Amino acid sequence: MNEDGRSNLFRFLVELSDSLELLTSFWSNPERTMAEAGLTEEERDLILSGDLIELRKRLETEGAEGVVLIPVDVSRSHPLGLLEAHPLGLSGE
Amino acid sequence: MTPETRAAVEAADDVFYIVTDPLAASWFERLVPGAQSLSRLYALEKSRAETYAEMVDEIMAPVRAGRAVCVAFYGHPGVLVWASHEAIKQAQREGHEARMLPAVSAEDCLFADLGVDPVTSGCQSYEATDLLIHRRTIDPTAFLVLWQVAWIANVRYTPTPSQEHLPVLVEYLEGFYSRDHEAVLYEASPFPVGAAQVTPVRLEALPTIDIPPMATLVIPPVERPQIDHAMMRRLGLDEVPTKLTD
Repeated sequence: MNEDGRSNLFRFLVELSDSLELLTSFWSNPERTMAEAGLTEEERDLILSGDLIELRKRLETEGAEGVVLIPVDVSRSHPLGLLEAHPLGLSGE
Repeated sequence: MTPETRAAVEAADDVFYIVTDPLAASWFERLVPGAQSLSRLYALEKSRAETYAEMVDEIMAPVRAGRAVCVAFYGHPGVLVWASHEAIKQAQREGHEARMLPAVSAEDCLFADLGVDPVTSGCQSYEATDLLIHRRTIDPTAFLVLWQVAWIANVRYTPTPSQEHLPVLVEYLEGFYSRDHEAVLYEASPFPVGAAQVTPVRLEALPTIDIPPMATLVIPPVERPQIDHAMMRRLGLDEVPTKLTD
């Protein structure tokens, strides 16, 4: 773990989300790119496995505050209100 | 995030956001230090309708004070997001300039990951609760995308899904498909690495498995649609266009 409580894996994936240069490097040579980022062999294997469930499990433990799963309630937010003002002129019930 | 969206985020006086994974939260907080997460408005057992109304109020307060406001939602801001549509509507009604910028929804990801072309195959897209309470008619000759199957009739916030209503969904789907029709549970990777999670499942087995909270149910067509030969003659067509038969 780093000073901010985040692992190298977490930091690497954040950087990968933001840096076109790093992403290009990762796609052309993932092993070298991950080694240069200081990822452990276990972290490198996890990324290369593409195992979404395991990745999520690992990253959730480093979660930022306030992150929640957010399903949407459509039973009260049926878009009739949107249809009333829809550019296609649709009208609601 | 498109360059256009990024520019909008960086140019705003106030930025709000909602994401569902810690990586995205960390990335966003780095991009916009001081951005405020709207996730804090959720509370256990609190009505989501109330939460959405509070989100709109949070967004509109700085708008009314004359500030440039940008709100980022995970996925596409216009897909399964009531607060975004409502805030834009309110802002415009009050004379403010407001617009939505497009992004990539779960459905866009599944078209890519599952190799589904929604136009040539035909595609219906419903939220699971909406499907049931409005008794939507399903066309079994086209793909069916069902959102939020793990959260049927869940109107108050809970951190984990409840699957108690899945038998009702299966019963409804049986009106259109055989019980053993095979579908897939799909979840896009929210990370820059990692494969999409694709789990084949027979419809009758849905209540017996643990459905990932963010999963979307994708049901392939049962059969090809019937051809209306009289209509083809009216349109001057001798054969079905190739793009619709591949």
